[in-house]
Amino acid sequence: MQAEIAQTFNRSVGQTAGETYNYKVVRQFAIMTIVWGIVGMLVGVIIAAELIWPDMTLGIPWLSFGRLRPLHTNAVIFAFGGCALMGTSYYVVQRTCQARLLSDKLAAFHFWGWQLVIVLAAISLPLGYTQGKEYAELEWPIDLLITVVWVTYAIVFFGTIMRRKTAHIYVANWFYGAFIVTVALLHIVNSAAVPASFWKSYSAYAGVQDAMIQWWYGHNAVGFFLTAGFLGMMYYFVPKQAERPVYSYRLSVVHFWALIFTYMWAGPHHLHYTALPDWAQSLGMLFSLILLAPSWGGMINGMMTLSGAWHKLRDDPILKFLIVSLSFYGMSTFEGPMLAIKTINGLAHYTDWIIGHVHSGALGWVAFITFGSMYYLIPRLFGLKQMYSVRLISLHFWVATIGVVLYIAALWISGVMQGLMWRAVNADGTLTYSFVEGVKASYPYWTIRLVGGSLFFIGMLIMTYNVIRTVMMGHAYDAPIPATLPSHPDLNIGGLQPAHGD
Amino acid sequence: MMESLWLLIPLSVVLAFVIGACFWWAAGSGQFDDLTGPGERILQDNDNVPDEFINKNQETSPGLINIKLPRQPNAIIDQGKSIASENLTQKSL
Repeated sequence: MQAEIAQTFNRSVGQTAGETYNYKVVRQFAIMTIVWGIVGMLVGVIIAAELIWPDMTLGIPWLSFGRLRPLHTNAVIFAFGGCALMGTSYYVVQRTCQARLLSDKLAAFHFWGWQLVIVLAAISLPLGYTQGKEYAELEWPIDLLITVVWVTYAIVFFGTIMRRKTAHIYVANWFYGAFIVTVALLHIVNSAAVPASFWKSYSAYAGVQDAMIQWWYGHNAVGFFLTAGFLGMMYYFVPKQAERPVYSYRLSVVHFWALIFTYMWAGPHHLHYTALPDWAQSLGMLFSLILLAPSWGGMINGMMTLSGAWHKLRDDPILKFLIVSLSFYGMSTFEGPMLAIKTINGLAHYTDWIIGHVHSGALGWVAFITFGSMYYLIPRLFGLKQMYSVRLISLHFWVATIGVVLYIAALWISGVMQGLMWRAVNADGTLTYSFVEGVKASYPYWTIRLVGGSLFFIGMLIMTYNVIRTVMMGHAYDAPIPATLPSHPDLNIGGLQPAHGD
Repeated sequence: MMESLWLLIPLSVVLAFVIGACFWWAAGSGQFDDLTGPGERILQDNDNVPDEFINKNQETSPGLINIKLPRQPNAIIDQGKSIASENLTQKSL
């Protein structure tokens, strides 16, 4: 019936029936973003509580910190963040290329394949099946499935760009494209392993070699999954919601090329003062410092999009999410290079400061830009003008903001405290504090962190309620593809053939 | 010596060439010819749901009309009003 309505509608506004964008897969990914957001953040809250009450799960091994922690990271990064990136990239690439996705079947395979990966992760990680590589814990059969699904994603995404009806490829697509290509490469190199049985494998690398490969992967995953991909989101949804073009399109293009040319070698900063050769550590530090420039260029570009329209920030909670996410992006991309400096790293490494830093990026930047984009997207996918309740968006914004600030401030304090306690020595050269004294001193801050994390989770529940009411109110809507953009008659620049008959 | 760097460094070099080639293609195919227009163009693409679709749906599921519309802050209230009033008053297509 909905298809019928859409067709009637299309006819009535002079569109040929059937010429619509594929919003279905975008809707699916958008809904799963919310679902996995709840799951991932709930597990985060549980393990934050486990730090305070280590016995709270009654010794059940599947619920122990060591098994739930990788489940938390995988769920929030690859399930919540992944679905958000995949859904928005399919929306942005279709809208900016004025073309339907290359193949509905491949897109559906991508969606269901990715959900299967997530479910397998949610089962295998608590059971203790792990490769022991941070953010790449999944065992080899799942790794192979990820590869197939990811290649499908790349085919659909780049195939859609190939059949675009606009000559120019909008900058957001470049960021999404770099994210897709680089994550594929990182995954294949780091997950190389020799299977010993169906659920056990050994890394193809050993010792410090393995560590180098792992953190080359680990930091570039931060750079391309959690940064480049979400910058693609930022370059589309910030201008759209602000109803203003990005501050400097030229700068956005420079931002893209500068970021991808300089990103690849920041990884060794995760291995300061280890068996990694000193020169490699220094190289990692140098490249991390260089990254400050493109990162801040992009952050300023996004923020200044509002220049002359700052008043919009007062009333529009979606814009608040988007702009505050950029300020967290700016903050954590300043903090990151500082933490990569070896002397500062000597104080901060292995302390809570690092976890605080990660969460200022993950909660403040990644999750906030996702919330903002989803609040923009979901009404448009369900045939509505706006979300069920704008007030609830505003409430979500404030609850989440207070949550993030409590979280990172608590871990700054406990992190610096731990660093200072660990390095304190008596006059005779013995350590002033035993390790457990540092643990004991951290409890108050871990409690504040739990409160902050819980607030963030409550914000997610508020969003869920709002989304459910929005979906109930609306009808699935597949927008018609406009024939061409009136402002852009020249379709054949650069030897590109416009796609016919689709 | 770091054996893993024998993998990672050549990989970076290859990647740098690939990125360079992409850049070359982008420059040659006119991607950088207009560095202001594309920013404006995404705003001309209207991705709002048309009123006609919303109204059409209200007719086919009359129960929806009874849904209580939320109160909204001022900036967005005009949008909200248009949904509310059009839904109740506008005639079908």
